[in-house]
Amino acid sequence: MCISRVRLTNGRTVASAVLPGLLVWMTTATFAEEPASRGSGSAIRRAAETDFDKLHSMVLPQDNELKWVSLPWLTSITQARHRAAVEGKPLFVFADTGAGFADALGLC
Amino acid sequence: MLKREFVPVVFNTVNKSLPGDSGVWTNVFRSWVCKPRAALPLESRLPGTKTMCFFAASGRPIEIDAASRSETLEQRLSKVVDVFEKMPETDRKPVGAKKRLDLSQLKYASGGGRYRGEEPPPGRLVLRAYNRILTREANGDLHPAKINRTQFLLGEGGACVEGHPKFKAERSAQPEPIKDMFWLTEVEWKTLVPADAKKGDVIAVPRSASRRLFLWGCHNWWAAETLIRLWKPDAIKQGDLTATVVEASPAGVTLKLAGDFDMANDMSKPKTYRAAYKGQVSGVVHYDRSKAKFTRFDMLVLGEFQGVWYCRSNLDWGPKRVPLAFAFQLAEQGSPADDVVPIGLNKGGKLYWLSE
Repeated sequence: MCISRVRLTNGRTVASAVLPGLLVWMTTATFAEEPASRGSGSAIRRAAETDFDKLHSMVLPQDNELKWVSLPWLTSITQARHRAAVEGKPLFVFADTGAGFADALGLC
Repeated sequence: MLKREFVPVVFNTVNKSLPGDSGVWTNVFRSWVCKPRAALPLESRLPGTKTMCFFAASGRPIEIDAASRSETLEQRLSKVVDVFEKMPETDRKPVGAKKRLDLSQLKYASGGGRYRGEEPPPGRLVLRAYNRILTREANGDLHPAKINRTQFLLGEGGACVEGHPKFKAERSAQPEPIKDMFWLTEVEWKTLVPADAKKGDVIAVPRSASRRLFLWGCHNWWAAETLIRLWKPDAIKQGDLTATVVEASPAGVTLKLAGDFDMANDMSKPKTYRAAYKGQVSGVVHYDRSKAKFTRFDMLVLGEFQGVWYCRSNLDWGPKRVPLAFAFQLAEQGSPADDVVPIGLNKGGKLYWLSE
């Protein structure tokens, strides 16, 4: 569920809980350029070139991560309701009720 | 058990849906919001509060006792099934829900942002895109960073990422990577595999594709969330991406991707701040000519992000450069999880496709 429609299960909106703080922070934030730590840029370059397989695998989901993705999700409630009625199964709804940028299928 | 005993459905504004879906949510399920007694919290995911809700096809919530929350997931799911099986057939198998559907009407939803539900370009190449914040060891090694869940969710102060002096290690965890999708148009990917490719050829990745990769494929969602557009089109200060043919035969072409880019953005609203990301692109791609498809498209963007973060009180931390990596791989054809519009397209609309 995306930010524009977030709502907690108790009815309190996340937008009302989080966004004011976020905006206060953003309106008071200052930004000072940090000098690149010594060698960090070249270290990044070297790592990207020499450790490609290792780093690529590291960023991908590990065996115990993002297991939700493997479920046979339906994305239409009408279609899901139809299948549930025909097959006599309960509906499992994944409700992303938080800030909303990582639901079962990824970003929204 | 979820696969076997339940019909899983996710409500996301960039998935395919049928006309009238929103009416079903509103009129049958009385909104998608879970009733507390029909909801099971998922605390293992970051960020945000994720909840599993259970309904019968009639729209009636399947309520279990609150005490079950301390039980294992398997136990709780079993209770849901028990309650469901005791519900009347009018709830479990309502006649009205069984009427035949026209699934040809299943289209990408025109949900949030600027995305208007346009059908995706035909022949596109679909990649999964994952990203993680990394942390650098004293010896230079990179590892996935841990994030303090409480801090991230509530913005209680201090930094999001481990290592900050204010930051207590308790409740810190390595979050799952954030998943997005990334699309290349047919014209773009065909440019990479010309019929006359020979070893040593250096092919410039089409500018439209490289710009899309930098601006939308390398969005720091940990920092900016989906409601903030982090990079403006002119954020790219420098960027090159090439594909070098390392092997070419009638059977196929293998390419090595290499490039780097430098982005910096001065935002004026709601307050002036700056975000910067310098990235290094590397990758290995293989195109199988007999199958007329890519069999490998592994790409890595590794760089350092500097700027604002979603978590609130990092005023004394924001300027720090943080390693941030993006990994791309081929999507799985037919997987609902990969049949999702890239969030950049949802948020950027036509800007997603612009080459300049």
